[in-house]
Amino acid sequence: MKIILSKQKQFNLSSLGYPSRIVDEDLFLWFQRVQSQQNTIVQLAKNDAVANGHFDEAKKVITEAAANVLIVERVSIWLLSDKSELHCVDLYERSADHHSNGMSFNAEDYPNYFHALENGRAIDVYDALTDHRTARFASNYLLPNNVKSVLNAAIRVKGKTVGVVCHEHVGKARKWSSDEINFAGEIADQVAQVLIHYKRNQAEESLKRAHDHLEKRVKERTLELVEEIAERKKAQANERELHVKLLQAEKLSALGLLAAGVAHELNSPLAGLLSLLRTYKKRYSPHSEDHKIISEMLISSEHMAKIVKDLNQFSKASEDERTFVDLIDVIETTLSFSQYQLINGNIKIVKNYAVHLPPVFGNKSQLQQVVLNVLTNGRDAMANGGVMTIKLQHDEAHHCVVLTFSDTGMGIPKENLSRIFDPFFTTKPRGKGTGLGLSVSHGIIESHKGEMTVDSEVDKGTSFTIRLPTLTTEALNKRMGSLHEQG
Amino acid sequence: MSKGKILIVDDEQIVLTAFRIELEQAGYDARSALSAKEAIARLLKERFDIVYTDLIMPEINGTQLCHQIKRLFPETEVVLFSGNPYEVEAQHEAFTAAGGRDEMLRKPLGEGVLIKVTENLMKEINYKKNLARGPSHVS
Repeated sequence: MKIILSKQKQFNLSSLGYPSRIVDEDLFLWFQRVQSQQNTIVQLAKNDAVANGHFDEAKKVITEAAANVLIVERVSIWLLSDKSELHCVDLYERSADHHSNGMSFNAEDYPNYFHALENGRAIDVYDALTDHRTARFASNYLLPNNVKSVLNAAIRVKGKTVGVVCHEHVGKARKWSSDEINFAGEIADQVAQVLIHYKRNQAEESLKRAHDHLEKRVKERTLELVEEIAERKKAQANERELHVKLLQAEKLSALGLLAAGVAHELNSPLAGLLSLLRTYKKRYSPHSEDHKIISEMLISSEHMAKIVKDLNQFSKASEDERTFVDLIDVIETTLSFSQYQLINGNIKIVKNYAVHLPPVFGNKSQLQQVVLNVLTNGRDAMANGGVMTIKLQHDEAHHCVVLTFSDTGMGIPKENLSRIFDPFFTTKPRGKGTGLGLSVSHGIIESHKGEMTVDSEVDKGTSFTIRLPTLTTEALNKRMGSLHEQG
Repeated sequence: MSKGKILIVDDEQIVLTAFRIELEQAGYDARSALSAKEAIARLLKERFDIVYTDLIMPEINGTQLCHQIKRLFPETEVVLFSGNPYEVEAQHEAFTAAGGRDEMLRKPLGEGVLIKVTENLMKEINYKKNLARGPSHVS
């Protein structure tokens, strides 16, 4: 910022706006000074830190420039806090070329000074120790720092005094010229501009931070919502599935009650009918037409009795006695008395039993009935022969034994698959099936707290999977304990 | 002389007809009643060896009827038959406590069951009658 001027150069003073009476002074020096001041202001205004409101950098640039142009030992910038505390944010000491900060004063202790500051652009003091505006600073500031003359300019933002720029001359008292007073004011204005920029930057930054934060939150919340919706959908699907299962169970149990009621009502007339038919059959000769007709009536009535008996089984709950049951034993016993039917149908049985199967707790005869029903179903599905695979596995992870019957029969069409466990649902020829076998089986497995499912493909075959819970060691010990107490 | 006098009580007419004919063909003297009230009225007129009664009937059920019969005619044996096995199980204790027979019949009865049960009961009844007449008649 050094300004070199040629003495020979011609100057037009009036064009610079300065009064002609100043010609008494050393015109050249005056002009050099003013030129330097103006250049400094322009340079400062162009400075990156000043223009962009980087206060920490700008304050140093400004104090240094002011100290060098005015040739004063100390230039400092002070800012007023909300609690009227005057705090030094930068002090430049020219001879040492050193910056420092941190000192502070309470504004209320210096009413004269602040009154003057409020009411003028700058305070130019020849002898600071005696001047009424600055005398109060004598002992605690001026004397210790050897300050003799001060030129202080108020920093104003939106008309409000927010701080002060102090130019302090050390040593002999110094008279401040009008251009210097002006310059001090302009320096203070530069500081004000930096502050305005700085505040705006801060506001913008915090706005941006708030905006970023909001955007981040929106993104996070959106993700959360997507997850929540997915979870809710999943929960709803589970609920629906459970509801369907519950409905199915309720339907079966209601049907069971109804079936039992109907069955009991039918037993009496059936008893009469069967008894009468048996009695009258004997009255005709075995080869007569009447004997034949009565025989047919008897067969139909007996079929009705069989349906009713199945219905009774259907509604039979868990009242029967339960013991530890070996499922292999259940399967083998059932096979032994139904084998002839299966062999007659040219059906091959393939067994695949896991070793070390835990027993299940249940009703042996009921479980035998389930096995029989499933085997009968398989036999009917394989009218032209086939293979029935019986698989018995232990699913340790789910504490259950899995029993699978797979046939190579005609399979069940998809539309019938969901109705397979419904009572009275049958695709077998009239008179052959009651439509109760599988629903009875389903009911029995449910009463054992198990699960019976079906899987089928047309022309490939059907497989029934039965999962029966095994007792955990804890439950087993408990049960053994209670049996022991009873015994 | 008939093999024994038997009363059948049921609110289902066909049961009465069928069991009556079946018993008559086997040589028994069989009567029927459509309700417990009708049965009591008949019992007050003539004595029966065995009463077969349904369990669930309007107004008075089989157990209550059994209680009345045993109070009036202790020698008459009362047998319960029912189409509802669960009701039979539920009533078993009360029925035997009222003096009814322990064996119970489930409707529909198997072929020949009614006659077989009746024969066995009559043997027991006749044995008791002989006992009552005095030790000399027991062989």
